[in-house]
Amino acid sequence: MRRVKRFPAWAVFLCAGAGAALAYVLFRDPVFQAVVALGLVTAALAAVVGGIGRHRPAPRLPWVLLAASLVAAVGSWALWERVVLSTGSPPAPGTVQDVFWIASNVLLLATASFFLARRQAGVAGYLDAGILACAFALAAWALVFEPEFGAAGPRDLSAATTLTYALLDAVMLAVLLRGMPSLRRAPAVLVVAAIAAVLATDSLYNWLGVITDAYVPGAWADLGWLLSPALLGAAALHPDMARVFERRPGRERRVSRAVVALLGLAALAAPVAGVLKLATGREIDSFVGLAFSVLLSGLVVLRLGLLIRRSEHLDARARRLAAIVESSSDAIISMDVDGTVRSWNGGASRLYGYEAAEVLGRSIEILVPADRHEDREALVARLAAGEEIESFETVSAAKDGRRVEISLSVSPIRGTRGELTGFSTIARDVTEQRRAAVERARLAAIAEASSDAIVGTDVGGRVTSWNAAAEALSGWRAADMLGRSVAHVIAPERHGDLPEILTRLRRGERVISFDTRLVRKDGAASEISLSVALVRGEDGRATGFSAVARDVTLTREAERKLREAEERYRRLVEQLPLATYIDAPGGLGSSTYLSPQIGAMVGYTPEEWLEDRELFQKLLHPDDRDRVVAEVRRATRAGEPVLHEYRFVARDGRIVWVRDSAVVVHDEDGRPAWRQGFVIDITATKAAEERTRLAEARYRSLVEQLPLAVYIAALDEDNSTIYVGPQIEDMLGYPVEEWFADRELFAKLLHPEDRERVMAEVRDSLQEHTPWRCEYRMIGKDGRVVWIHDEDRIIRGEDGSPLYSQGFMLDISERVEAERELGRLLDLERAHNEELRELDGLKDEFVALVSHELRTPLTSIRGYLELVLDGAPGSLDEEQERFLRVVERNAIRLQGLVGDLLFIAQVEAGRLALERAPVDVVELVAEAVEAARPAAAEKGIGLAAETAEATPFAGDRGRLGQLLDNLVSNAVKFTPAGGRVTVRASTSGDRLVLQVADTGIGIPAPEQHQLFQRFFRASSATAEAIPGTGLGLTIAKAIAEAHGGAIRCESTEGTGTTFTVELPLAADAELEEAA
Amino acid sequence: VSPLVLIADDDRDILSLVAFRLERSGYRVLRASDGAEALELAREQAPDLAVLDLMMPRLTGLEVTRALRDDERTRDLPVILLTARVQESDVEAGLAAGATEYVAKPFSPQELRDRVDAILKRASRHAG
Repeated sequence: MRRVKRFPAWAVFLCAGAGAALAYVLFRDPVFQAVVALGLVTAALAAVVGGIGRHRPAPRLPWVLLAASLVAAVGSWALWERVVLSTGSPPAPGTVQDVFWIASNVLLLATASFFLARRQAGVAGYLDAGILACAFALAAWALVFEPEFGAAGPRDLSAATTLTYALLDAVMLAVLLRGMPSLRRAPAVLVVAAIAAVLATDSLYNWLGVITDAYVPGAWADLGWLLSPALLGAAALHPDMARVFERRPGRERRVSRAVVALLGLAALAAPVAGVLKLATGREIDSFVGLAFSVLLSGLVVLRLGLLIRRSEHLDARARRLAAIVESSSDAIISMDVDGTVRSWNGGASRLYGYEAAEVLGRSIEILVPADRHEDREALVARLAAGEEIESFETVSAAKDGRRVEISLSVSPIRGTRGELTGFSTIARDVTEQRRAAVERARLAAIAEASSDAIVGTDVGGRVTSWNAAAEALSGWRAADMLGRSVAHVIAPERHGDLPEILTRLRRGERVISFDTRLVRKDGAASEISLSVALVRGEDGRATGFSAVARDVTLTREAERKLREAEERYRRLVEQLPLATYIDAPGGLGSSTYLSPQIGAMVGYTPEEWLEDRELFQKLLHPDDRDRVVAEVRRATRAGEPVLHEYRFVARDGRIVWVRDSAVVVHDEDGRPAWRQGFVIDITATKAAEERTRLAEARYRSLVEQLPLAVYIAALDEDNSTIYVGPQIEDMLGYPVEEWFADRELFAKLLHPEDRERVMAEVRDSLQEHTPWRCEYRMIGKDGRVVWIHDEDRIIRGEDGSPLYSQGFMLDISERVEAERELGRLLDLERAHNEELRELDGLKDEFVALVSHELRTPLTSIRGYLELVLDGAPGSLDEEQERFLRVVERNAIRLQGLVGDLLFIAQVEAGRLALERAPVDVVELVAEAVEAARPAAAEKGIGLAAETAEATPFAGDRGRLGQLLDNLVSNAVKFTPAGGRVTVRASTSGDRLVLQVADTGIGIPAPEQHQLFQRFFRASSATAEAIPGTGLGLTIAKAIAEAHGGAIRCESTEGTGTTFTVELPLAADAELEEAA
Repeated sequence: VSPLVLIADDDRDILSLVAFRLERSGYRVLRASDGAEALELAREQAPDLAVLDLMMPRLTGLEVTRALRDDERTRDLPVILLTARVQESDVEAGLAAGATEYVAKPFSPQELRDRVDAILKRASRHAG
């Protein structure tokens, strides 16, 4: 670790200083030497000042003195070198230079004297140093200076200076010897070395320069002077310099043998000097020598006096200590390093039973029990390591074999030089103390561990102990409560209890338990149960109270709650609409409790039940009695629960159906403890059940008579069947049981072509909960295909939640068959009709086309006939004209026929359009009559119009004229000569009535209904060869109907025919609009 | 100058009959045996009146009537349609196309001449 890269400053300084000193003596150039010497001293001064500033020594004074000494040395060196440089020889003794040097040495001496102070040698130390200094001075004078200066002493300044130097050296040497510090610290070594170097060099100079005149400046003799500042500077730079002059308090002042020997030699200095002088043959006596001898003797006497006083002091101290040791109740034993007992006090005798005489000189081992050697070895090891032992607990063996628990303190005993000479041991019997401590600890532990609060008080009620449970109970810490009155935690309203308790305890009651209320630190109150006892001391006097407290808040609360709960449950039980009971485990008739509801149920109160043990069996309905009694006995024996229904015959004769449910309750050991149960009146339920059963039977028989299979299915994934009517078997050949057994049956029986569709629909319906209706095919057991109509819907509960699906399956095979047949027929019919319609359309088209194509040639025929008959190409003769008239008449007839056909075609095609306009009916009738008049006149038929006043009528004048023309021409045609035709027009209510009546041949009744058919010709007409197309009446009817009216015919064969046309009169508004 | 009447019919007999009758009554007559010819003559000769059969090859009477009405020169030419079809819709279509009157076949030549007289009299009155 110390192998650092940088050398410490002090070492560098030392090396550099030593090097400079060496250079000084090696290179003897005066100027160089002067520079080196002054530089070195100045550097040392700087180092000391710097060291003081940096390391802050305590005390600082010696270092300050040292610095002052170096200042003086600088001055001295400067003067010295000036003389040496100017003269080449050292200055003569007794100059100013010497003053500086002496000052420097005195200051150095003052520094060294701090070593004396540090050793705490006190007056004795200074006396010793004085004795030594005197001895050195005497020796120096007698042996060196007296021969040189003579007995008269120095006669000039030079000699006095030299003597001063010698004297100073003697004193410094004495101080160094007496105050020699321990040389463990480097700065101390350096300082001592520096002083020694100065001392030696001064002496050498004195000898060389003064005595022998052999001194040459700048030679080897100067080396010590130059080394001294180097050493001092290094010492000041060393970090340990701060503690070199540190006082070491408490150090025993000892007089070492070396000091005594030195002092002895010093005391003998005068005689030795005398002997030496005699031996060299010189004069012995001189004044100075005598004076030194007297001074020396005085100092020695003083020193001896001090020694005697000190010895007496020590002696008294030793006696006092011995007395203390002897009187100590502890065993105090001292022993050698090897364990030999050297002292044994009374306490030891009492503790171990050995007298001092018995053990002195024997080994301490006799006190160590066999099993405790390791303790001893451990102890010895610790002592050897320089430790002091205090309160080492171990066990010793007493003389009588008792084991004594002891606490040991062992200290080493050291000799005057600090060497270990033995041990002193103080042993104390801690057996009792131990036991008491253990007991106390045990009790304390019990108290602390107790879950009950344990509190001790003095007689005044002030708390002396307060365990953890008490802390927990009250919330107050022991530290809070110790010394405080216990009343502090008792609720104020309960303070009144305390005096009475105390009085009773003092009277002699041992323990009093009572409940009181405690107030916790947080203000909450707790109920506590308190047991208080009086504590008496050994003398029987009361010393205090002990109290054990337990929080019973929860207990009291629990008790109260239990009572309340029991009451609540009893009330609950007795309000239930059922009777509860508890039987002893014995069984029948052993009831210990019955709730009052039983009275209302059967008319016997619980008291009556408890009185009459047979009552239960008596009240049982005779039909149920044996069964119930057997069941109860069996269940009781087996310890099993029982649930059965039976009837009681109540006091008033009513039959009461009950449901009885009971269990056996077992105790902790598993033995039946009691039997408890309840009885519910289910008479109403039973009646309802019966009603339900009947109703269900009714509905079931109804459902099962329907010609369809009703079913109910669950809304689960399988849509599993809950019910299916037996009709299903008739339908498909599978009995109901198979439907329940095989969930897949439905799917299996579905016609393969329908299966996928139907199952998908069923799934959707189940998911959506929507009503469902479907027709599909199933394959019956006999292989028949059965058409099924299936309707299904979800039945919901009152809350709307779906419960199940319900539906029916109906065999519609026959209907489907019939529908198919019907469909086939309908198709046929439709095709037929279509054909007819097409044919009809074809006919109409044909008629229209033909009529049109006929008209164009007719136009030419009539047009050219007209031209010819008008005489345009030239006049005709009578015959030509008659023939052409025939052609013309037939052309007109053909034209009429074409017109009629076209008209009919229009009517048939529904394309008849009317051009309504106000029609003058009177004029209309008149025109028709006029038109027919030529033909009538030709046949000799009377033709008359009978019309009332002009009735306003809106109609197609052309069509109405056509209608009347047709009727009138018909009438004329079918009326024989001499007959009469009458045309009437009148209004009847809101109708216009047109009548054409004739006195003709009439129409046979069976043909009358065919009159208005196209091309129908009455048999009478054909028979009479009356010409006609058979279209006139058809057209008349079409026109009448187009006007919203009707035409009818009344005819009597041989008498005549009357055609009546009734047309609705249009409303006035319509008339106006038509106008 | 006596009025010029255009007569168009694919039936030569009818054409001759009507022409004869009108010429006898003092009209000048233009004959056309189909619709296209009728339209051409109407544009070239600027007749005072046209008698058009409804059913004619190339252009029907109806189409000729529309074409006449679309032409600046013939816009006001009176037209009588001759038709064997008496359906309401035919009549309406004819009048809508701009025919002045229609005469159903079969008709008497005298009747047709009376209509022509009436129309021309009305037209001259308007013109006058």
